Amino acid sequence: MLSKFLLLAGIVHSQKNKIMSFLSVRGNKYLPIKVLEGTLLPGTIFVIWLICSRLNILSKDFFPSPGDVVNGFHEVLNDGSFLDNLGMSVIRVLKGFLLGSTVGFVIGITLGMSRFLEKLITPIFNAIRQVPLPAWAPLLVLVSLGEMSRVLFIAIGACYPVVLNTFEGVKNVRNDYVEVGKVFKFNRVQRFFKIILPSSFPSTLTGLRLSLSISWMLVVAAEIFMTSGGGIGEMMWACREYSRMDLVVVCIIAIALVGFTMNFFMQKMEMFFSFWRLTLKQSR
Amino acid sequence: MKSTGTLSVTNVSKKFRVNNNEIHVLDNINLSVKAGEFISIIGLSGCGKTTLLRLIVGLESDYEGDILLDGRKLNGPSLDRGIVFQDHRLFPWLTVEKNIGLGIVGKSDTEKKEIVNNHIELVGLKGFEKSYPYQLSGGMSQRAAIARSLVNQPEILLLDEPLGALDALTRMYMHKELERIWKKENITMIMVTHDVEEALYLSDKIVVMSARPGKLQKIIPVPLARPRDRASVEFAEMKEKVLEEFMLHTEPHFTYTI
Repeated sequence: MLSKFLLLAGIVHSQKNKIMSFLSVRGNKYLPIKVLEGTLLPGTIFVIWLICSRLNILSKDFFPSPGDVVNGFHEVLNDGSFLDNLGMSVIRVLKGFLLGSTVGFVIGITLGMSRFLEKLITPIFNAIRQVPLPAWAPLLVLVSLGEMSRVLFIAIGACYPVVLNTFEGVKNVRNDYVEVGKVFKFNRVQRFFKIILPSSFPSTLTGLRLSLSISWMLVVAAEIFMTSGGGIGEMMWACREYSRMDLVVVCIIAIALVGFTMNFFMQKMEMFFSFWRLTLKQSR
Repeated sequence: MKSTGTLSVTNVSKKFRVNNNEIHVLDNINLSVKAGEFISIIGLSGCGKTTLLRLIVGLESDYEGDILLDGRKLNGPSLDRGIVFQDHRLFPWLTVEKNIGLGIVGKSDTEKKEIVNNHIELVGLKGFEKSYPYQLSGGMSQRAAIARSLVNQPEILLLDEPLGALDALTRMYMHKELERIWKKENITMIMVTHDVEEALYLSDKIVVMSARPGKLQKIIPVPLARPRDRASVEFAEMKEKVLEEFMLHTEPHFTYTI
């Protein structure tokens, strides 16, 4: 029996590629298999969670059961303030992300284009980068007690990955392409828009993707450090104060889902705009 | 015969500085190219042939001597000199037609489109206008690169081992194509290569260079009629003559008669 099973497993394994290609549609994995692969681990964790709470291994006071969380979802969705808070956080993130990534993009391009400014700015930039973000909170509260401080907090964190990746992208533009521009007598503006920007754009997009997911993490921190502006982070903190751990978990799951969705869209965008670089990698 | 596209290189020397050491790359090069001529520069690697080409196109500066195009001294790159690099250097983020149209300046959109279409037809890439470089074969990429270098109607086209990365059959096919384009465009072409047959098939004159420092060893005129036949006796004799410069010719067998 065991030997037969092993034999079967061996056959399945050796024919894996054939089976996969049979199930695939135009090189992409067959969707149910993709979903199955993606949900295997979360599903397992869920089952363990369920079993632990049923067997009272997890104390109800500290860690809610899946049932409590489902009920919690019902409760907050009927209330309405939950989605408002989530929306406020998303808008806050977008503001901070746009501000931070725009500034980051400009700094990154500047550092990449000018060796002088690179030498001038890089040391300060690297020093500032070492400051943990929460350490900015007291200073930002001095700047503004309102929405501005939270947006700035996110913007600072959103800025770094864009600066670094854009700079990296510009630095790595192949000199071969720049020479083609020289032969065609491109001026500085043409060189920038026809060679440097498109060539470095995939790298910039990687920075933007990292930046957006960092922004989403920071919004929770910003709302906890700099309260009374609403938002999912603040709501989560309030729920903790009232010992509503079920709602805390609801907030955590919501934060994870929104973050996942944002990352997913950024990844799609990255693939869309850097198709030429991705295919370059694949063909190697 | 066009009057533009003459090149004269007189007493050109070029040194590079690497870690405070001066490296003599080119030493006293003299060369004159008539309008509409096809010249090949051959030599072992490191003989400075690519450097010479880069000097002519204007990508390298700071040399001794004079390089004159139609009697005018060169001053950096200019649209009257085109170049095809060994690696096609097409921009991977642009389609074939956008790559070819990259260097066109001072033309309206309709004119630009027409120029691009004409050149796509010239190099035989019809139907691949919207393809990206990664979708092209090596030969097709090099065709696109040739089209890109011709859009501004340069007087002189420089080719830096343009077919070096292609397989033997594609290369022979491209020789024919290159000859056709050269005749049709009626421009001066200077090609760097290390393929003796390629040089013989295409050139009016072959310039043999020796290495370290790069010197002009010999200029061999190729008086064969076109289109050339690789299998002909004359072709084989010319090939021996060129290979002799590299000590690669076959030694004649020892014979005696009574």
